Amino acid sequence: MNLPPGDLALVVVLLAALVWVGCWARRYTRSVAHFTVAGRGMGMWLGLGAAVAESIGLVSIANSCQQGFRNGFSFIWLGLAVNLCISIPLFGIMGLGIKRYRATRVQTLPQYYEMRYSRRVRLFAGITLALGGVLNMAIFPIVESHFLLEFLNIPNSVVFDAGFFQFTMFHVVLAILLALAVFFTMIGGMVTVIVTDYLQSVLILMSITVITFLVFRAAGVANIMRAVDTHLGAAAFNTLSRRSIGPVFVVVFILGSIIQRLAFPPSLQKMSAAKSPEVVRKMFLLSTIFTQGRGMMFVAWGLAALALFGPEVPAGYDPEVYGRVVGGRLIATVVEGVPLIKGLALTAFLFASISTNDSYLLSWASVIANDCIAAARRKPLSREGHLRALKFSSVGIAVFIFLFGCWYTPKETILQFFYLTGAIFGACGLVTWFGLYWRRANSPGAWACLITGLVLPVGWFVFQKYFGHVLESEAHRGLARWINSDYAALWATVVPALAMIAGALGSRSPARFVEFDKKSLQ
Amino acid sequence: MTFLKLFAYWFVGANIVITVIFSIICLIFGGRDLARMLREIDSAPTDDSDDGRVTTPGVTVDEANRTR
Repeated sequence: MNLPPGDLALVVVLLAALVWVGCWARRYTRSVAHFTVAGRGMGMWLGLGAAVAESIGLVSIANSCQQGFRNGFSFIWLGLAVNLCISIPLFGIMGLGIKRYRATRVQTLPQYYEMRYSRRVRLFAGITLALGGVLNMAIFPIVESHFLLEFLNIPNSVVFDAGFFQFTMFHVVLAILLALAVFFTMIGGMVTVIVTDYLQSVLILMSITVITFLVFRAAGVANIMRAVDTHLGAAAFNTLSRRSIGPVFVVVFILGSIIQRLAFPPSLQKMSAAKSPEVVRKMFLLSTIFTQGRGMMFVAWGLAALALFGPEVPAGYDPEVYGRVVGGRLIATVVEGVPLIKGLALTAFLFASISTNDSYLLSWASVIANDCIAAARRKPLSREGHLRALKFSSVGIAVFIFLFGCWYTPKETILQFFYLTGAIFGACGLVTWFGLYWRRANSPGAWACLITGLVLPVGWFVFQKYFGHVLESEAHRGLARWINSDYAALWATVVPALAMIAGALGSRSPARFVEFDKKSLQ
Repeated sequence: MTFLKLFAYWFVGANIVITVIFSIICLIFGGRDLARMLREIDSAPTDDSDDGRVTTPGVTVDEANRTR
């Protein structure tokens, strides 16, 4: 490991300080509502600070670097356009959906389904969300471990040979990252997560600004521009020049950005912890404006890596893994020789990992404990029993992720993995939107929507795996124009929505709704 | 294309400045919010009924009409 003693001391001191703050904050966790939603007392600026730390995960740094390294700026414009034209007006200014969701005062998304539909819908959605969510999150610490090994220049050598399995340095780093995340989740739940995330955000933002300056200094802006022109050409800037992005993809992307806003429990749980629906709206508005730019900085790191190292994959690297760790290699190069900066960068990376993983762990543990365990019982859990269920769920998820990390070999990009696993619970967003805005939405409709929303994307993945080669043949080229991933994603959005409408209108089951007056939305 | 190129590089540069300003504001006002949240948690009584159970389910149209 290439880390000077001064840098190592800085990492240890800052990490110890964070652990101390986490232990101090645990005294404020006295009930289940404190553990899951911090007593719903989070103000706007605190929420923004905490959201910054949560949104800058080490995995998102690795992902943005990978996208920048491979595709330049091209994939960013679509996100920017959707944010400016859809997200800011709909959610940031009008507060559509997000204010109503917070006004329900639920702790988890499936809890709203019981309020609006039935307990069985809650249980089914809880299991689906937990399954898809834990798988979705599983890649985070795996990518982060590869990234840190590259950054610290640690060879992935065998540490322990158990005969049937060889434990390497990768598994050691994976275990450390998971243990840190579980620690901050277990000691105080959302209160600890918010307090530590807020403090971590300050250090993370400071560090990425310094690193960006060093990256530009080392690579040179003119060199970066030249490398982008040489290796990526016009495709680096023009979204529509990429063959994979067509009009159907754009429609799916826009629909997805609206529907998924009310489907993803980790961000919904932060909304639930906010002080009021109005605070949620303001938080969304400001975070959308500010997060866009930070994403661009990480993309710029990927471009700088392209300028410094070129597009070729060095010998000994798997092409997919190299894309994931190229950011780590870049930063290790640019901080070399600058006193204490390597330590500061390592601390920022560790904090970025902890702040994202603990928020996600807490969210999925809350779904498992509240919506799978507590909701399935006739007798309510005691306060202590419920807190124990929450803590054991976080440990269980971490153990699962470690085992998954031992088995998983990356074959797809980080973004593809997110889409693949996220599709499992994609229909939950539709069920929430219909529940909040359509009075006739009822339990049979929710069932129809959830089941079609689960079957269609999973069915498509199975079809692609076993019959995908048929569509690639010359004889079926015409068919492939209509049967492809873009259309599959479109149908996986439209058909569940139609199923909800048909199920609700075609059954006589009474619809339960939640009234929202002006006062409750303030 | 030239516009896109120029915009992309200027956008990155501008956002570095914005990020610095944003982090300073977050640090100052976030600290105030944090102190307020912890004070409120400290002073409010513990509510054990708020544990993720549904105690106030939605109402049907008939139920809503009856209570009006």
